[in-house]
Amino acid sequence: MKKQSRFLRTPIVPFTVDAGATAEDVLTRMERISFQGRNLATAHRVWQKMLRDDVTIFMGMAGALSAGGLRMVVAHLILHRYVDCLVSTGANLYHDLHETRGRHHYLGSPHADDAALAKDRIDRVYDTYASEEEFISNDNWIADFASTLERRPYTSREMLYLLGGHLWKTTKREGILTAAYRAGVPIFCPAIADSSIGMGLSQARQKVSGAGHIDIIGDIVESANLIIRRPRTASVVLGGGTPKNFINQASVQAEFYSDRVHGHRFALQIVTDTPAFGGASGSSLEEAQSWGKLATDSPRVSVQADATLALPLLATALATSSAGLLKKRKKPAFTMEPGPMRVDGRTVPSDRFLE
Amino acid sequence: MPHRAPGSPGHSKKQFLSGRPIRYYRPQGSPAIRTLIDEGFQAFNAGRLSEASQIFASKMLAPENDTTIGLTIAGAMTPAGLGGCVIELMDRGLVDFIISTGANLYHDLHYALNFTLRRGSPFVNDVELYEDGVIRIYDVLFPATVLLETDAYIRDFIVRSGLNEPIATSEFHYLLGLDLMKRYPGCSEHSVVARAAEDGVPLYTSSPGDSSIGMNIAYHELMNGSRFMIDPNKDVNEVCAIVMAGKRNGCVILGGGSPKNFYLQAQPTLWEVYGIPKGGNEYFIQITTDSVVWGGLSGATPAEAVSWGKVNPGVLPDTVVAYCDSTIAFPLFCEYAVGSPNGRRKRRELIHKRDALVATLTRDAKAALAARNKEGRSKKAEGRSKKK
Repeated sequence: MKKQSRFLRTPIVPFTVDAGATAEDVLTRMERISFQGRNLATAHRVWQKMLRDDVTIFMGMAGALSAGGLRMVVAHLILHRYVDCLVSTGANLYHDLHETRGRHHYLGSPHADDAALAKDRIDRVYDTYASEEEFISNDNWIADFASTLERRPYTSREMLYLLGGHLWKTTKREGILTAAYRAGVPIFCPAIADSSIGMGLSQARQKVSGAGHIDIIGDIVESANLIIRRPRTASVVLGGGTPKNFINQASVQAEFYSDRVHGHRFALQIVTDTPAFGGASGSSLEEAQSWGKLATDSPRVSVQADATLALPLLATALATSSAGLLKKRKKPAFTMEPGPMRVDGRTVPSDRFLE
Repeated sequence: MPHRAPGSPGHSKKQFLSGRPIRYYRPQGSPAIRTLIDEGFQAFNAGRLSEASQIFASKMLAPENDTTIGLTIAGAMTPAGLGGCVIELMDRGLVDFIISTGANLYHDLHYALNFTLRRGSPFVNDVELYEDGVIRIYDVLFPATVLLETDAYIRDFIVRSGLNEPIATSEFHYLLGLDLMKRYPGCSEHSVVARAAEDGVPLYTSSPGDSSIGMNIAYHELMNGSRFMIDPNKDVNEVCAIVMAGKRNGCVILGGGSPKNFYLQAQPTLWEVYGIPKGGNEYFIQITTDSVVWGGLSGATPAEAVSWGKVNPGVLPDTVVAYCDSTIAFPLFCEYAVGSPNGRRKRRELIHKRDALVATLTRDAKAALAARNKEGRSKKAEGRSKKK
């Protein structure tokens, strides 16, 4: 018989249904099917590799994932240190705060009559509703909190840590902000002005002159210094957007000042955007390699999927597959009391780059 | 009247059908649009469309390349008014044959029969439309009577034609086009089917049962006991024969779907089934909204087609996919081609050459078979002599 081509090594194994299968079983069997199903299964493996390594894992979060019911998945990933640093849009943190304060988002319809919703002061996020009345009380709550802070610039990371702490002390409820506070995981919000958190901070300034001052350039310095201190990093991106760019630029910025930084060592993205339209959200991980954002030999996978489909399955599978890895993990230890952040006992300045 | 009586009075029908009529836009070769595509469309999918336009006009249409060009059409292009682009390309000899979904040819008949499709909104209440007897294709609206009367014309034509045996879709669409021109003089100005007959461009449908034309052919068999039917084998062989005869081959693919596959299977049919090493396409242009990541054929790249022998390796620079809605990209693409120095070629009128082309295919396929048999025999003989 003719010699089999080197391309034909591994057969597809048709997926069979098993009534008792765990998410881990499902993803393991999806490794031998095709298309985005296999990519999601590969994402499970890549994330495990990240946990096995000593990398600092950044996670970016864009798209209405908190309003869409994924905030406890993200909180779980933070609390159990599947990730070490979150970069989020302001809206995701705001909608998380909304539910942590005991409010809700509601099941709705994407075909709703928006004029009727406007009449009832209901805001629509695709097929999810929220009450504007309840939002207003959040904005006031944020403004009141910010009014108690010192009259000085805070990085978004520092402010969000204090906000998470205040939220935990007053509610004792689980959520993204409270999980990050309890687990000592920094959260950066590079476009904080572009959200209701920013709007709440602006209201603080209305009450107290000089309040609500966020030093977003300090965020760049701090995130880059974090990578200079610990040059081995990984990126997990949900949705793309500003957080994807911020995580990547931190690596590029760090490389200006340290020759030990060579881009993220692992990358995993779950995005619905596609590369063909030229935007950053859909850009391929290979494109990131050309920029030095990602190491050229990095294990990586891009999953083209809605995070509401992919993330619950992925996180549930990791919960069983990675318990041992989490215990053994050499994760970075952050100290985030007021003043410069510390990682593994060493300072991470926000006022100048480490050299 | 059928069970569902369309257009029952007393509703808001006038509102739904108050939009401007959809007419076939005929590209005119506007120099301003050519400048826009050459100079303004520089990156991303504008860049891809610019490359596609330039490859088509400068390479595929270049006289010295003598490219046989297939156009495949999927997605509701004729209801959206893009039939005028197809007419212009056929008339100028810029496409040599067409593979379309049945629906595009069926809805083209509305224009030939002088029924009016109208511009509307995609955000209307479909239950109200149903009650008013109005049909919606995204934002194109028209009365259901248009469907019924078009169906009646097709059935009437089939009876009058006296067709009573299996034929190719190209033959059927040709006869249909001739009948349209006879009964509706001047309709070839606004009908792809009629104009294709006039210009001698073969029109194929890859899934003839999957449209209202097929539905009415089925009616004729069930109700009149007719033996007239579509023979897809004839289509496969005719398309193969046309592709085989091409000095160079190239395609313009709108959307993807079944017509894309039907066009691209010609070369594999030649090498894999008939043993004729024709090679793949030299040029490949596609405009699609699908994307590669879902694994489907519509979104598959020309690079993937190389592995199948559908596209020649080494010609990837002459292949391009623009990720864009055809209703935007195709009229611009046609304006560019029409206005180019190669904007007119001698029409091949392949509709009249099909028999000769298929005869050549038969001869070559039999020769290839004989060669393989001979090779097989000599190998066996070699095997025997080795045993000794």
